[in-house]
Amino acid sequence: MDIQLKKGLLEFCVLAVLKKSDSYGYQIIKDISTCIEISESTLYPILKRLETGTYLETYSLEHNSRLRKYYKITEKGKDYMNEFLEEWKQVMNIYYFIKGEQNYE
Amino acid sequence: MNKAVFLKELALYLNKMKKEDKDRFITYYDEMLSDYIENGMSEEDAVNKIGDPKRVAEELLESHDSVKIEIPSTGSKFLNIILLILGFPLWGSLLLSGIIMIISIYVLLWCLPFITGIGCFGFFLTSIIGVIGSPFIMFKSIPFGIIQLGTSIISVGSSILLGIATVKISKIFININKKFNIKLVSLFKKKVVIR
Amino acid sequence: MKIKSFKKKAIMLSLIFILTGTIIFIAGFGFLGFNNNRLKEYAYNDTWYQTIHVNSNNELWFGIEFGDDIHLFTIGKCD
Repeated sequence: MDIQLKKGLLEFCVLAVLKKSDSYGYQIIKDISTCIEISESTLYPILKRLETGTYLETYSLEHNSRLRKYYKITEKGKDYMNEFLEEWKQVMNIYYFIKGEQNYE
Repeated sequence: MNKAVFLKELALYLNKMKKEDKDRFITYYDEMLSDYIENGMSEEDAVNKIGDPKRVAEELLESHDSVKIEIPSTGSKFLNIILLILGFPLWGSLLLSGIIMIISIYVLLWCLPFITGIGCFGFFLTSIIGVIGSPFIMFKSIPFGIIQLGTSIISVGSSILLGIATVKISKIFININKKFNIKLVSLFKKKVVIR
Repeated sequence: MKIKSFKKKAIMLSLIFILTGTIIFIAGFGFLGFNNNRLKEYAYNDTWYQTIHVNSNNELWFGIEFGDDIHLFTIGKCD
């Protein structure tokens, strides 16, 4: 898949995971990996970007005598996600159009 | 490679970054590795999953937006100015002798095409006069006239050759001049490093 | 001969000149029997359109002389 496209989509995958519940790095990777491949090095800049855009916030909790950073989606993040889903409804239509068209060959 | 070594190496490759950013990265990977290990992976496997620290650092540096502009500085401005003024007798005279040396080398170099140029002109002039004069000389003595004619024609040829030489040498010297100037200017331009 | 570069043409031309000049020179000198002294005999009365001269030491020099004092171009010792 085109790398820029993948990076864009992964952003929303992260938000989707966080929408279900707050999460942390390791868990996010584990969840997303069920759908699409993602590496730790790819995740970091995505998290950073989302944080800069205030689509998510962070806080730290103690876990087994070390600090673990948690990520939580914000309202702005939820809106952002919905925008994406709306836009891509269009993409889905076009997808079926193209697919359908081929059947009528 | 175990976790500690991985993190140390990563920190090493990332030392070009701002401290805060670098620390955040290291914390992130530290946490990630710890989670993998806690969930059953061996240290070795966890480190391998993340990858080679050098490559990871390169990717991070690429996608990372922080721009650090470093201008190599050589100490406080004020101190530098004082030192400059105090040391003037020394560096001033060195600079002057350097300039004079460069000028004399220039003059020396350009003497060559100058000589060939003058020679070209002189031969040409002589040949004209010689050719014009030779019929008159022939009234005096034919062989002498012929000799003069002969030498005049040789002069024409020499003049052309010298002319070509002058042009060629001048071109070469101008080239050398240009290259030298570029080197000189680049010495004085400050290098700004953008990371 | 097709010689494209101007420089090469010029060099060729100059060589031809030099060659021709040398031949003529040798021809003329030949009449005098290749005798330097006989050449000098004729070179005494300097006129302005003469390019071969003799100086006070009886040596030949080649160049341009206007009157006694003005020398424009000389090869060899003059006066």
